[in-house]
Amino acid sequence: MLKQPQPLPPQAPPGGPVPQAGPPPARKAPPPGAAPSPNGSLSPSGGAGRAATAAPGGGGGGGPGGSGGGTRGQSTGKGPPQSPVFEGVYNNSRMLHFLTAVVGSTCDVKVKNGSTFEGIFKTLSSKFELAVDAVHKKTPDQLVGPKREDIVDTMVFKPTDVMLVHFRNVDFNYATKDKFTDSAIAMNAKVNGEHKEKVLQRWEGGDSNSDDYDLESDMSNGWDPNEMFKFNEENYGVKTTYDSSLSSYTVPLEKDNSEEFRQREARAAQLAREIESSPQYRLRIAMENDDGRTEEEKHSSVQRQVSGRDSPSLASREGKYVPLPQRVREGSRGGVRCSSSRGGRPGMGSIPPRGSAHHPDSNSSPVPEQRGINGGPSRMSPKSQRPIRGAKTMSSPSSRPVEVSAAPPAVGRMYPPRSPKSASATPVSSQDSPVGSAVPAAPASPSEARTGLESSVSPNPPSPKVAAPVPATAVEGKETPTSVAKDPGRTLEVTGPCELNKAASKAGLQNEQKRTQLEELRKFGAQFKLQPSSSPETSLESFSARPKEPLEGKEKSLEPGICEGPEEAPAVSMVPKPSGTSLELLPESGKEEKGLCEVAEQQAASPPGKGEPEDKEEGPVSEQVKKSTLNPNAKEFNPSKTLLSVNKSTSTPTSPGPRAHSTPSIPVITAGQTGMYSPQYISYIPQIHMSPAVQAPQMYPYPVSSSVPGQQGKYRGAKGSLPPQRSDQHQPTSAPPIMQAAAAAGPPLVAATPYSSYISYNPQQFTGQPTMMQPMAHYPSQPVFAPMLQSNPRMMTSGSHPQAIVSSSTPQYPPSEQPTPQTLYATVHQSYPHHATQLHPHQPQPATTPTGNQQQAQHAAPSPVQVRGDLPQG
Amino acid sequence: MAAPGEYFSVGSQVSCRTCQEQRLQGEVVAFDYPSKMLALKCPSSSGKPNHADILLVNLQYVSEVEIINDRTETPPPLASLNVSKLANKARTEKEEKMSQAYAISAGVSLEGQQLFQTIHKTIKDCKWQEKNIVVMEDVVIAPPYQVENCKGKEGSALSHVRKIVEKHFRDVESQKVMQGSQAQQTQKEATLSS
Repeated sequence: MLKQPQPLPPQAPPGGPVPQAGPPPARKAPPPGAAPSPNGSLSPSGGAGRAATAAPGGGGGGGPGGSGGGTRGQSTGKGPPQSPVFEGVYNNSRMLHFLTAVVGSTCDVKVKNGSTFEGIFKTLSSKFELAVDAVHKKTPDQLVGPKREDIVDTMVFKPTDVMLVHFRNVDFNYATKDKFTDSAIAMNAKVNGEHKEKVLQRWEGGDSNSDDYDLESDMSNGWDPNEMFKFNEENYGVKTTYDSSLSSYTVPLEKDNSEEFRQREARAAQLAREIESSPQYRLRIAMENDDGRTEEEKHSSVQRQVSGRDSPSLASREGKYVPLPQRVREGSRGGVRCSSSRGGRPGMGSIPPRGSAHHPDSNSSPVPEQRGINGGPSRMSPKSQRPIRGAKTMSSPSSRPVEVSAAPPAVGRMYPPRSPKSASATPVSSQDSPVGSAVPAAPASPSEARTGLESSVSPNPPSPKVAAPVPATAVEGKETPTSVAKDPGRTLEVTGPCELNKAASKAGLQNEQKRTQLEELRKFGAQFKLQPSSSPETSLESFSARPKEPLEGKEKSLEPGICEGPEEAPAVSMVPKPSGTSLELLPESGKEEKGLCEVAEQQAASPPGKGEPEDKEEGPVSEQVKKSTLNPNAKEFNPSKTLLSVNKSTSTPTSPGPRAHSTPSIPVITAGQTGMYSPQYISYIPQIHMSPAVQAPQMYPYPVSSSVPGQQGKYRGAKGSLPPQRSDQHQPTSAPPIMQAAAAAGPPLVAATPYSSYISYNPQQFTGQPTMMQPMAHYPSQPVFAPMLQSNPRMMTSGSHPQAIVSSSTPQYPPSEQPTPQTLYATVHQSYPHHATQLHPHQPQPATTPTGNQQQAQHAAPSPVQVRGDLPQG
Repeated sequence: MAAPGEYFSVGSQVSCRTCQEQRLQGEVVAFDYPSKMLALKCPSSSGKPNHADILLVNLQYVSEVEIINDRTETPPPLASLNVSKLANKARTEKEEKMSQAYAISAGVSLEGQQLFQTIHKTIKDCKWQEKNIVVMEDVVIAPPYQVENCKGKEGSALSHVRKIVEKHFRDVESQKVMQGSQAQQTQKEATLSS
């Protein structure tokens, strides 16, 4: 049966054995339909062999396609082509598969007659005719390879002739593995119709799995070092010698459990804490790290201030440096300016209303802070809410500012009336924490008033408070700086008490006075609610028409300046007096302090109506002033110490207060809170105006919570105001204080501003941070210095730094302010004087922001008093 | 597969004896009933683990068929084949064989044949001229095809060819060491052919 492999190609059809080959082609033709290549090859070739070869190709194609099963191959074949059904072996996908897989392999074909032919398997037909290329007959004795003449190009073996076909060394993975491998692609790819081996490029797209490759999700900033090491190692065989322990440079710290080691460790940690907590360190770090920020803030803050100020009179102030004299004039012209400036600054916007708007914000922010600080949010919240409402609802800002401004004026003017009322109340508190309380009360009251509920009331309180602080400072000045600090704290407390009182009054608690107060309070409350509209009224009530105008005027001129203007005048006079005679200053300040104290007392003790508190405050202030000069200071001093600690804790709280004040001026709040110097600066001005209102609200909460704790309130106030300031920058802190002072003092004229400044300063001082010193410096020039002095103990060390800072900033102001302050300071203490001078310089800086300047100027006047205070401390 | 499935199940071990008394044994991979062709897979004659020999047996000439063990499991699915790749392989194999035959017919030694193949991998422009290998129409390598036998115009071409030749024999030596058996066979063939 063996048919000798005759060269089928040519003779395929004719050849006897080949005949079959002939048929296959025909048959194949159909199936090949499925596989085009086979057909083409078959028909053209004409040779059976070729047909066969073609067939295999087709088979191969079928094989792959039909790998799943013969049916597949058929179906596929059927589908498209004419003859859907494969013929013969082509239907046997499995056989086809294996016979296709061995294509290209060397095979020995043993035929029936026993002879063996070796060739390269090429293909097979549907009739299982095998086409083999390069065939030569193997002979037992054939040791040498076939010669060219022994090789038949192609032979086709009929299945019937084939007994056994042995395919040697077949790699079944050869064709399957490379189905879609790079090499396969490269081999098969036709580049522009040219059979070339394609040069493949590495795909750097990353894992195919990560379809959701997201740039956003990759937070890494570039290559991780380890990634780089790994990459270089894998791709370039470069192995990193990097040792994370840096053993080449350092010696690892061997930790053991020995007591000694622990002690050392603890000591190291302690030292680190001490260093990091030191004012110098913070100052330097701040200078190093916050420079950019500070500048940014400064710029932004300045701009904001300008905008805010614009509407009022601030714009002019902000944009330009206003000499103290001018400021004073402005201040004298209108407490309005102060108020307006306050509002304006806070308001960021240009108009007072905006200021009010800011207030709301500030209020809100303050409230939280207060809550956090005091933990008496509930009380506060209501108040804050009210204020906020007023602010929000209002244009209230304008009204508030007016109120505030009014308040200051009122304080100055109104104080007398208040003092009487307060006097009643104050007497009690005045002695204990009169000064402190008074001071706090002033801030608080302003804030409260501003808050909107008791705008009228608050204004009064602020002024009293301011006055109180001043006295306190003066007194304290004699006594010690700390007392001043205490005063601030007290002031805060007072405000708290006031709030408490108000709350109490609201509740309809206690005395007839309370009742009357309650009535007033209710009225106020109504007004407050209306604040936008009411606030003006309140302002009118308290201040009459003047307040607004004055406030505006003040605002226009630097807030501080304005407020201070009036105040300054007194302050100035005072200052000399302080240096010469602290008594003179003291009286005023004392009155104020007393008022504040009284207020505080009233607030604390009396629930009396808010309105009453104000009145009382005024009264008390006067009384207190008289009394306070002596005792209040001492008490305050104690608080100041506590305040110091408190301040630290309250620093945040205080910030709220400042913020509240600042709230009117958004910047302030932020500044105070953030602790940013620049913000503070900005805020300061606003704060001053706004602060009263804002703080007052805050204060109220505190007081409420700690109505009793006049001290707490004070502390809080002091702390709150101080800490923020301290934490922030001195300037900012100073500004807030100034603001407060302005708010409070603005009305009162001289005393108020100084006090406020003192208060604020105190906080800063308390912070004791170098930064604080700077603020202090500003303050120092103003009444603030006194606080500074109080705080000085701590501050002193840091003071040098602040001073330096101050000096840099001060240059502008120094001329105007310095003179008085300096003289005063000189009299007081050397160190203080420096501060004062420095402060003045700083003030000038603040002055850049109108408020700051004004405040400074005012402060300068107060400074004498402070100086005195400082002296005691010193 | 339907038909074959009836007689042989894929994967079962089958042993059979041909009419020429040759014993065959292997694993059934395919069976075509119409042609009575049975495909068996058995270990590679070269011993390579990843290779196998395929026996295509025409049962018409088999006297005994014994199923050593049957496997009921369904055969694994067939992977698709890269036909074009196989076709290329077939063509390459054929050309190689023909070339070798040509050389053999010319009386070229095995070393010469191997050297020719090696050079051909790098330089397509090479051909037999009698027993000489002519590379790039420029360099002629005469038996015994050593480096010193490379002659031609001095230049990069000659030096390049010499490098190839030098490397070729170096590789052959190492290959002989590594593959003693194959080397021996090739040597035998070489001796025989020579």
